[in-house]
Amino acid sequence: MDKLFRKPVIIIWIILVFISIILLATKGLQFGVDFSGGTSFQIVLEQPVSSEDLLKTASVISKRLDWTGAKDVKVTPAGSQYLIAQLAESDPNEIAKLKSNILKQGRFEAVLDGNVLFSGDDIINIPKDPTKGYSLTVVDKKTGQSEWSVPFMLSPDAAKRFARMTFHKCMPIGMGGQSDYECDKTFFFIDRPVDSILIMDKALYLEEKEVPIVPESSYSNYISIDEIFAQLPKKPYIVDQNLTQEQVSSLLLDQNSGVYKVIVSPTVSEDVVNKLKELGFKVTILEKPENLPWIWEATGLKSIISLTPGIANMDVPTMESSRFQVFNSLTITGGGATLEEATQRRDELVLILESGSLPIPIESISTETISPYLGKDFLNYCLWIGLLVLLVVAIAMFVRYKHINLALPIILTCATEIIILLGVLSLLSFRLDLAGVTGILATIATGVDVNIIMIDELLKGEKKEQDAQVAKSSFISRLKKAFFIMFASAATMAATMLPIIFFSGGLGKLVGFAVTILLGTVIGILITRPVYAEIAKRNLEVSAQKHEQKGSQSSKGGSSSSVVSLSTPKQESEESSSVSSDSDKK
Amino acid sequence: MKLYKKENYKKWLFVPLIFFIVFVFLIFFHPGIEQGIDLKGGNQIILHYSDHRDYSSIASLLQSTYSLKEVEVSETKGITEYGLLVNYSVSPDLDLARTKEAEFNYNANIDTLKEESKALFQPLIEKGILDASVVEDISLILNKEDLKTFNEETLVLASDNFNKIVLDLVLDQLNLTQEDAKVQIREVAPTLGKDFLKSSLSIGITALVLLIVVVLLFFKKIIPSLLIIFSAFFDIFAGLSGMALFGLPLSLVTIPALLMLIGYSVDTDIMLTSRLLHEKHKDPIDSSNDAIKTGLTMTLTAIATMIVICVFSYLTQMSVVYEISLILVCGLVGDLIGTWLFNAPALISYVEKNKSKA
Repeated sequence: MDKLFRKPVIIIWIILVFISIILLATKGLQFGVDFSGGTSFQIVLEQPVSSEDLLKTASVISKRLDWTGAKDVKVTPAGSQYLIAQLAESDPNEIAKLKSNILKQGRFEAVLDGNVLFSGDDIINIPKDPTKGYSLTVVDKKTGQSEWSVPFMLSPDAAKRFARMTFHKCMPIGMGGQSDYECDKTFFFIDRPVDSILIMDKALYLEEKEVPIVPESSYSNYISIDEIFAQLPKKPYIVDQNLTQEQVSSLLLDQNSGVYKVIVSPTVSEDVVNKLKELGFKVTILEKPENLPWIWEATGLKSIISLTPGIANMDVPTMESSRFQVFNSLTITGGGATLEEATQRRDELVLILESGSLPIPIESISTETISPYLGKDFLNYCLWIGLLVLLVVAIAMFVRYKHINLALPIILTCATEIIILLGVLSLLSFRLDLAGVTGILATIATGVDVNIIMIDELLKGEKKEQDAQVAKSSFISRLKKAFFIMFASAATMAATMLPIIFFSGGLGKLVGFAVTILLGTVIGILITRPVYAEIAKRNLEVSAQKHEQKGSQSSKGGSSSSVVSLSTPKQESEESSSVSSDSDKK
Repeated sequence: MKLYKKENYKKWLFVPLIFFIVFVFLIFFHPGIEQGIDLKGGNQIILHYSDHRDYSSIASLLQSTYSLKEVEVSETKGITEYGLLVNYSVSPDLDLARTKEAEFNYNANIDTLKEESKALFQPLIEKGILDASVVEDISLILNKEDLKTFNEETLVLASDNFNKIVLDLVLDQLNLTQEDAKVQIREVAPTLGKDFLKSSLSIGITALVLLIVVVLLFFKKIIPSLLIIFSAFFDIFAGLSGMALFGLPLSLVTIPALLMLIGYSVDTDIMLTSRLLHEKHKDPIDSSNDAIKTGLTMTLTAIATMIVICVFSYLTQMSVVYEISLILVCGLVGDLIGTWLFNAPALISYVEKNKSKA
């Protein structure tokens, strides 16, 4: 085997290329909206906030954009004041709706029997602290069945109200005086329609007569829709083809009490809608979401949680009893069939409790929407440009050096630099956009620059130094010089690109460009440039040896020169390792 | 043929000087550089479609119907597709409504506030940006807090509606549906634009300081380092002139491109400086004549690749790629002048003076 393949840097290089190809084949690359199509929201908060608050804001916003998690929404904080939300939606009407969803402050309410137990303002704190009861444990190791609990603190007033309102809200069940209870359920809403009346058509009502308690889960208990109705301040109306006389007079009563808005299910007949408008109502027709019952969407219901006998003070005879307890700190517990499901449900609940309000108001939202058709084209074009660029570099190198041994490795190292760079981006799950790709293309060109400097330094020696020994010592110094230039050039690139990453805040576009260029530069310095140096050096030496051998055949002292050429590889390998370690140190 | 000769290498210094004056004229006087919507805020629609369409009436129609201050419509032609770029400012009515709403005193009497709010939205309703039911909705509101929320939400709605109206109008004029036209829509809030501008300034200043530090650390001599920095500035000016000539605005895309141009173009200056300062046994003129061969290979290869990227991205209408590569082409052409007609002669003279002192 060629001694080249024993050089550490060459071995690392080959391994990295291999790993990168595997990563690209298995994990693949992630693309931003430029390529995948969709919309990116750039959200500016009114003031800079702590990273914790920023993360919280990010999760609240991602929930507001997509409650059920079906749309692949990514919200990433940037800097201390910006958030970038990306999702695969490009219809301007939908985008406008989503935008107003982000801006709307959610009003969280926990409701029991139609009365508010506590609202978002009453929650003082949700300690994410295991010692305070925040936990997630696997109950059954085999199936992965898990339990979780989320503690939260209520303000003293709210806690008192809670204790009074939940008192004895459980019914003993089971036989023989066993202390088994079935307790009332509390309903968690965000933006419960308090000033609107729901109007549902009969077909939908019958369809949703029994709805699952956990809508997204396939395995779930059911609850009667009437129980949800009971949580609303105004009783919903179930209509057939038209409004009955009774319903009309009842609606007019509601109107007299100050309610002018109605939320109507999509299949309600036009007659009903017209009649409602005639009566002077403002009608909103609400579409049914794909994987959620209409009633959940219409009422803003987010979760249904049962009380526990302890909380309901079941073992205390009256509220006046000295044993009657007011709990400032409450805990909600639940389970999941798998650890994953349990985690998801717990996180969702925390979000609901927290989502009442954003820690900081939003100052502005900017949007960028790209049609998915366009994005696909762009990706293809970029691949073509990449190949073209490599071709142009190859032609330029060949025209200039006419030395396939020097030009070919440039193409090889450039191509592998890109592969390793893409591998790293895949590993980082980096969302590649057009600017990022341009950065990659630009690294090809910068990479070539340094390789040209290297070749010229090496070639300069080959021409001038006739004596093999002198050639070798100056070889090292020339290589050092080439590496000096390479480091200086990489350092200047870092000097101009690093500030972009540090100061860019929400400037997502700038960052992709700077990140790819910097990564490309780092990969270049650490791996591909030293690799190119090794290959070029070896190729030059091989040609020099051929040269020498030709010379020795014609000259008389053939044996002595062959000794020199035999000793060359050994000495050379020592020197070269000193060069590569030199470069590693820097 | 040798570029630098003992007697006359300094004469080259005039060339960059003349170019510099031309650059300054192009950048600051005519045609000048605009700020893109990234930095000043605004709206942009880019449409891609497969056959030629008449777009001549769009600008005037938008201007006359909504009295927009700025409307800019331009067509680009790719290999397989046409592209139409529409930049437009926010409707002045909407802008006015926003300013007025911000000045509202929500402590005032609710009925007065309601009347004021109705008056606020009236012009928008007349222009068809808002639905007439808004007035009705305001009458139904009971407390000030709800009114405030309603007003704020309505303004957001109005801005979204307006963008939809413009898009529909453009599509209608082109006789296209949303499915036929591959659409790109951007909306940059003026506040975000301001933030972008601020960050861009800090980025620019930090990059400059870091660049000076890095170059000084590597070469440890003030004058050669300064020459490199000047040369980098020259390249930036070349890139900016390119932007002025081709009408590229200052934006989130062009600013990093300009910064990258610095990092990229100083390579040749570093190579030149390193050779002249480190090859002490050699005449600086010989060193320069050697270095220029390497340097030309570097820069010409880079220019060739960037031209390929530029042309291809123009034809395929990838504006981000096109803008970055165009700036790099212009900057690198400038770098040929900056490095070999400014930095090299100036550095030769510096090295010779030092030698004669020693």
